[in-house]
Amino acid sequence: MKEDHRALALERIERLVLLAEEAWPEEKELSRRYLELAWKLKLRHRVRLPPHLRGRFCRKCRSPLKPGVSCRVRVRAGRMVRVCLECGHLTRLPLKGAKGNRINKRRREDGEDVR
Amino acid sequence: MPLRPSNLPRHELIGLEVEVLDSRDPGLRGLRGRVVDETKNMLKIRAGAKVKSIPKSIVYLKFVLPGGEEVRIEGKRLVARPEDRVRKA
Repeated sequence: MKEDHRALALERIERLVLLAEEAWPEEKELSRRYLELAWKLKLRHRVRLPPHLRGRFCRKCRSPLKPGVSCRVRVRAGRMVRVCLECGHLTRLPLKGAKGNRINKRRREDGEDVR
Repeated sequence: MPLRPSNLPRHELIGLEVEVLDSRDPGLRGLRGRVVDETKNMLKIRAGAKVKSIPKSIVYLKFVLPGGEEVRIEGKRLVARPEDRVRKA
């Protein structure tokens, strides 16, 4: 029963993210509202966002992040720096040697030396 | 877990087509459109160019699922915060 409501919450979160991206940029407030609802679902049901939904919206102002449209993505000092163009919120993600980094994982499996 | 008639009261309502079949407010009867927002007590529906707020507690609704299936449901069963509805029976 417990898993049941979590699976349902995840499905609803996914729908809301898609709806928010559809509403952007014609109705920004509505778009943010959908992502706020998605976030509330996430908190209430204690689910982790799956990788394909992570980073799809700004953690601060809940705007959808579309590279080149609503956010700026740069590589700076070995990190991916993402700036939300709505509120200016900045996220930094390590690229090198990060745990769980897909590219690095593949490299390690190929026997390459990755720091 | 896709949207099915059985889990509609616990699923996402935003984006669905809906029609007000009956209402204690006669002005709302026959209203139809797409759900654009939801709060604890209200559904906001885009009908034509306007967004109308309808109280969940006084209406009898018909939802049309993306697959074309129709679900008739009493609005009272939907009264809860959208994130709390997942757990409500």
